[in-house]
Amino acid sequence: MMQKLISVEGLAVRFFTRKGTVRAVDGVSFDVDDGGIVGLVGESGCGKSATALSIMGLLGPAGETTSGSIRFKGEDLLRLSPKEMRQIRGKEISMVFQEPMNALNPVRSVGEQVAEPLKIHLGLSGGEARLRAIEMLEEVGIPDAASRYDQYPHQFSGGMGQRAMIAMALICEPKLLIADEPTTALDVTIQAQIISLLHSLRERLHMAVLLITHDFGVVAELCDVVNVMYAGVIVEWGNVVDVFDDPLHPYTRGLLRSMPRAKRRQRKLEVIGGAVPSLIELPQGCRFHPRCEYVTKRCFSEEPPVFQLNDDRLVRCWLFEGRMKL
Amino acid sequence: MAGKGRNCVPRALRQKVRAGLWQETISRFGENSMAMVGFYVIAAVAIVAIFAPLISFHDPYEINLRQRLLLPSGAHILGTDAFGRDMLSRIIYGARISLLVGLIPSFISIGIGSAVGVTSGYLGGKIDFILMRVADIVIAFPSLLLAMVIMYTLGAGLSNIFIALSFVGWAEAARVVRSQVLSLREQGFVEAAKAMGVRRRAIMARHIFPNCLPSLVVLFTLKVPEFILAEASLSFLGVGAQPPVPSWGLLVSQGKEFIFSAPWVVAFPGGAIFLVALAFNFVGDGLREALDPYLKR
Repeated sequence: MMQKLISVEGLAVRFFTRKGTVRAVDGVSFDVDDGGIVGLVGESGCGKSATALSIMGLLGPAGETTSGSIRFKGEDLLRLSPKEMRQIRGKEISMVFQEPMNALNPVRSVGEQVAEPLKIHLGLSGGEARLRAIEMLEEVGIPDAASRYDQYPHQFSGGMGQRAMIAMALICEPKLLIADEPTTALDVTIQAQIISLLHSLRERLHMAVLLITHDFGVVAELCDVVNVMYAGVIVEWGNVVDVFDDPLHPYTRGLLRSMPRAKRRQRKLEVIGGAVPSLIELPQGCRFHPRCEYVTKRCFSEEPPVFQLNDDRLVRCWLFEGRMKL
Repeated sequence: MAGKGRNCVPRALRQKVRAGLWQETISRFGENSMAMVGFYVIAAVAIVAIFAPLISFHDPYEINLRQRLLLPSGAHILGTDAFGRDMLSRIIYGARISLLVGLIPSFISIGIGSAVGVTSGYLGGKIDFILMRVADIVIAFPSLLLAMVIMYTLGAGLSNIFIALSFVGWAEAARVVRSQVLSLREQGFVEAAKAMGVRRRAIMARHIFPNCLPSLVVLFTLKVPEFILAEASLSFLGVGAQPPVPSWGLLVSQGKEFIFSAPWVVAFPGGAIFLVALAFNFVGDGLREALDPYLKR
């Protein structure tokens, strides 16, 4: 069995707003193995990004991790001081964001930004950092990296920008990369390139990836294991192949059905009716019951626990009661 | 040719691609004729100020009571003042004072204002509240009155003018910077920098502050004429530069008694103030237009 690199246990994140407390993440647990790729899938506003920011310790003044633990190499990240956490960010755990053009500083040269983590974490001098950054830019597939180093973000295309972001995130060879919708803002052809780039870099650097996305296609391409998240909780967990072949939770089924397919001739795209519930006032019982086609009386009043079907299959739905309960 | 690496890219293309933000701005600025006129006027005044001893024919302090209030002529191109001193030489030497008085307090006040604005905007909370209330107080005071009070307390003299004007000017720069920082700190690149483990101070200095530079450049070019005029006003009111220093404001002040009998004594230094202030305003407007894509963002 592979070793756990990061283990999130019962994580809860709250955002305190004027309208009330937003329970963005409500008891989320998952592991990422050393060198593994784990997907975190769900609709917008289901708490995926809040989970990622909580791991990074970047929730900001309005958000707070209220309970749970995040054990990274045996240490609880939530107990670290801001200074210790800063030394982990960018060196041990890195993050790639959705909008490369927004995540690069418009008034600093791309190379300078890519080289910055080297100066901060490894104390490299300007010249050494430059050489290393050019190597890294070449490695992520930026042609003519030496002259691209001095260019500014507006001279980069979206795909090139995302490559540069990946170079910046991976330049200190972190153990874990959190990729928050890394391909969402890109063209489909570029998406495929970025996915295969992440794939090859993961193998070479032997890092683990936590991939956050709403796109099951990306998950299928990259991940070993997938967590399906809905309204702040994980509703299904399993191997990518298993989840695709035999989705258990009604939400997962809905998500997979609503993917457009080239093979099947469809008049209309299937959708899951309704919308994600407000995370301020969650529905009683199962969070998914207002949108669920298999809803039973029990779903209105009691929140389902996690049921374990076999070694690597978990689901949070009353339909699977009677199987083993965790 | 081994077509790998940078050597296969034509040199001309490489240079074009490398043009950064500032190069683009400068080329756009160059196309604005009003701004270029302003720029040339400032450049000319700066050259005159630097080489004042070489250019002026007369000693600006040399009194000649037999040649009082002479009309402009071949010997004294802009005439003479009430003590028979050559007006042209005095205006040329005055350019030194006016430029210094425009530039130095602008630098100081924008420097202080940026530090306050970035800190205030980025950290927020109590620090922001306190710093901004102090800035409010400074802004709420009529600035010339505040500068006069400082000049009275510190005493007249050029270095005190720098202090007084810097003190009056920093608050506006702080406000401008803070408002920008409030939106900048929510940008993705700040979050990305945090995610890379960059320290808070470095985020403020290296990631946020450079994004404020375009608007600070504009603010700078608009502050310079403001301070030149403020110095002229202070000197005119008698709390700025002291005679016999040939500050333009003081020249106007001393000439005011002869405004009807010898109007050139007032008109030329007044015209110099007007011209330089106008030139800086043209340059400021031109820069604002040239930097517009970055300011809008």
